[in-house]
Amino acid sequence: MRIVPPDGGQSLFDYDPELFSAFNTLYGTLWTDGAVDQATKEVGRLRNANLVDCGI
Amino acid sequence: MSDNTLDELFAPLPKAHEHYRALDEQIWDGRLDPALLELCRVRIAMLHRCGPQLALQRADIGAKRAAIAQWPTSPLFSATERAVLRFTEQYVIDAQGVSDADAAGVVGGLSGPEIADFTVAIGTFDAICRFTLALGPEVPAQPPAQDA
Repeated sequence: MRIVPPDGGQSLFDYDPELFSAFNTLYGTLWTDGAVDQATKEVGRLRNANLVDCGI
Repeated sequence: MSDNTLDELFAPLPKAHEHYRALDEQIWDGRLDPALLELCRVRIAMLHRCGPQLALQRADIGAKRAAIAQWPTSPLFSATERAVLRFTEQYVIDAQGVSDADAAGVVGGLSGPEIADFTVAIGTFDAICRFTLALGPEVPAQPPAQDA
């Protein structure tokens, strides 16, 4: 890993859990809110991950 | 922040708009130097040719605003500013191409919490430009500036 997580943390974002929580709140809202069903959103998410070659 | 385009785009999604605003407020609350963030935000908007974002000024960066495209050679930019701009450009153009050297430059200039904040910030700035360009009002294509 290029950037070592803080002690007891699992990822870079554990350095600032408050900001990461705000990001996750928005991300979660995009998944659960709106008119598009989650299966369609998942198709878009997977295609995006494929295009940028993101294995996560 | 005055950004009518973004307000209009988020109008059908009030909850997402509210949570984006909360995230944006935290990004700019001083946990990371706003001038450093502004350099990255403007550079991302330049690379995307995102007019609404280019029209905004979120922090005072003085003469650097007009010189951002010359960051590799301009004496106006510090080593840390060059490192974050190098990382930012690679992130926008091809995130898979971010190298160990790109990351090392950022690690050398920022603390762990600052790197976390920087990463969330440039991801958000990039997403907002793409969102704006994809769903915003259609505008005639602009040729890239010669110094872009």
